[in-house]
Amino acid sequence: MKLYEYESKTIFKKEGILIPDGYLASSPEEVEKIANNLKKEVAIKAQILATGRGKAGGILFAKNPKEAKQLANKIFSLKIKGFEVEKVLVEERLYPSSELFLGITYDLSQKKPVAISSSLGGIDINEISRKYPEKIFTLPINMAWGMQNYQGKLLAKNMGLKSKIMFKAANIAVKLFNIFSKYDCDLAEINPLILTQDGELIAADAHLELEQEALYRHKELEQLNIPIRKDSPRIPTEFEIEAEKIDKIDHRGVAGRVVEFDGDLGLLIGGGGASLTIFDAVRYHGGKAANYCEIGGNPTVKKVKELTKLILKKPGIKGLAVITNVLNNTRVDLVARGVILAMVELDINPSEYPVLFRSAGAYEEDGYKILRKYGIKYLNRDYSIDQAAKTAVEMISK
Amino acid sequence: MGMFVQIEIDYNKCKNVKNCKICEDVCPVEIFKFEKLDNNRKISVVEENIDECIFCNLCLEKCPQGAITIKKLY
Ligand code: SF4
Ligand code: SF4
Repeated sequence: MKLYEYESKTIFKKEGILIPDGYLASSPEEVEKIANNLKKEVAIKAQILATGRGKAGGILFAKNPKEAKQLANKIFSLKIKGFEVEKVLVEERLYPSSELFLGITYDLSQKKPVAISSSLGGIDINEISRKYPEKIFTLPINMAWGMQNYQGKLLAKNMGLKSKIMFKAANIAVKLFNIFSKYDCDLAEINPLILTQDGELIAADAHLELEQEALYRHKELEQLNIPIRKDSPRIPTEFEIEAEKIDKIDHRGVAGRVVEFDGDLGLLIGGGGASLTIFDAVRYHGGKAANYCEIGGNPTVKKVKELTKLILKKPGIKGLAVITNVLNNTRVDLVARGVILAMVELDINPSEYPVLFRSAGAYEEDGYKILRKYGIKYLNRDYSIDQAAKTAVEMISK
Repeated sequence: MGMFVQIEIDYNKCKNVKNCKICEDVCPVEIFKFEKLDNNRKISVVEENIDECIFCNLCLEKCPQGAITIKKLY
């Protein structure tokens, strides 16, 4: 879950990293009031969950409250990378003597966290690594021991800092790592970390991304006024919200991660990343999917049943394709039970409804017996996912 | 009885054991429910969960009275 800058800064403040004096505003009038109270030149920063807002005009500086209000008007009318600006952060303007970079993320090849520092802050880290790879210093960190003080100093030294300021930066690096570990982050970044003219180090920007699967462990977020949500480029539809509720009925297996489309072929698909392949195959053969979804990890019969019901009740649905990879972790018989129960509860005769199964793997013989008993057409593992998608598309175009 | 699975308890056998609720403890999909009623106990089969049975056979193996029968209905 990506946090807004102001949310990340709430955590920084709590954990002892210096941030600029600032407040959140939802209207130009509020911006004017805050600028008035701060009695300083201010930075007005759009709060969106995307990078690149600076280049898009989402960060502006104002000399006085009146100008702040005018500039805020501009920012509130922006749409940056598809995001409307609903809130801005109004902060005292900082005058850097230098801008630095400090970040922590996971290195998937090393399978451990890696801390990154650079003397070039304020620009996108990918750009720094492309143009000035020699300016980037990376340091793997052992998760069990955490970041040691000497590692903090190494990171600070490689930002080009010396003496007292180096110690301060080292301290910030250790605190940032502690945040990374304590809040189960995938990414913790300060860009830029500003060295002010009077020798203070302040996190001018803050970027935290929390691991979605670990959010349940962080009840403290609520107290910090950080609502738990799912990253999504758009607001989920009713259909998607319902599907998510179904997936949450039970911790066992996945029968969710649904995305709604406006086609007529309902999909119950999954299998170790095969969902996307299946979805593509349906499109390739001219089919129009009503939804994308993922099933796997042995969801309960009830979860499969409820998800199938949701899909079958979707207006405009002409048929259902249950296609999975060859799975050892999702039983074919349990999926078949769920689908048939859904049909029976909706008063649909399974032998008359256009439904096609291509599932194979654990308990496939039991699954096929059930499908045969209820007159449902199925393809076994001799048929590829592509052939199954083609057959399903043809089934509903008849 | 579910649509795919039939599970029955022979209460004549089950009643012989005091406070036994082994089937409830071992079933991974919560098919048996134990209730304490005053001086009695009652084990029932949760109808809405029957079709979740994964045929792990734990209940059959562990029931000290051999009181449970399970049948596939396909
Ligand atoms: S066979 Fe397994 S899943 Fe089925 S009722 Fe017995 S313990 Fe539960
Ligand atoms: S394990 Fe057997 S004897 Fe014990 S409660 Fe269950 S059915 Fe009755």
